[in-house]
Amino acid sequence: MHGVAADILPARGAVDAALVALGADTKLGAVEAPERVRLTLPERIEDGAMVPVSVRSTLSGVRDVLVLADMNPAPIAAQFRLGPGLAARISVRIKLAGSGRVYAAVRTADGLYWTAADAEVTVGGCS
Amino acid sequence: MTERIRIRSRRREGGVDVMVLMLHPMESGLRTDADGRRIPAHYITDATVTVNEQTVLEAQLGIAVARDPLLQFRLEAAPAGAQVHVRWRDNRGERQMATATLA
Repeated sequence: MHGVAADILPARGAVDAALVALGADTKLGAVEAPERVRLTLPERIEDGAMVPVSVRSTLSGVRDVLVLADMNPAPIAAQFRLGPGLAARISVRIKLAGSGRVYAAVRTADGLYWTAADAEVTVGGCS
Repeated sequence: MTERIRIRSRRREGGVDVMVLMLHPMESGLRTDADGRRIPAHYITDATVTVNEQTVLEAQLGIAVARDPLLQFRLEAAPAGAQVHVRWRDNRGERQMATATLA
């Protein structure tokens, strides 16, 4: 069984690094903006294997919507490129390996706007 | 055989809410079975949605997306009867697609 735990340990600061990288080609870069991005998570998560997550934004010109989690092996859980006519409103069900923080980010030409919420997970869903 | 992609849509407040359910195990490759053997990774890597052949959503999924991925999104304007087409591809190179008529 050696190696399994090490494989699933998240890299320290991986979400922060991912946000910076994702915002790098925009004018403002990564900006925390809870008033422009709304992330909805269940209040209590009993089973981390299936966690509904919704992201909405009031910004116009949203090109990408991202869901990140700092307790998972890889920081980005899901990534969406929005085509013409799609509202900045996406829901997806993700896995969370344990308790931690979930992040939602939307990218426009101006910046990567993000927000985060705490997730209380009773049973982790990655292994 | 069960449809492996289900598409539902509902017209509401001038737009169309769409739900896409893709039946897939989404195995991360990190889990082990009862005998301690690793269960091989098997997950959808990406999915694309088009409406009347125009791409409206490109999703990059992966091992952190839950079993049977469910995507919900909203089209701000779509003609009644438009054709919505969903296709996905997984890490083993398998592909599935489905088409439905929008509400």
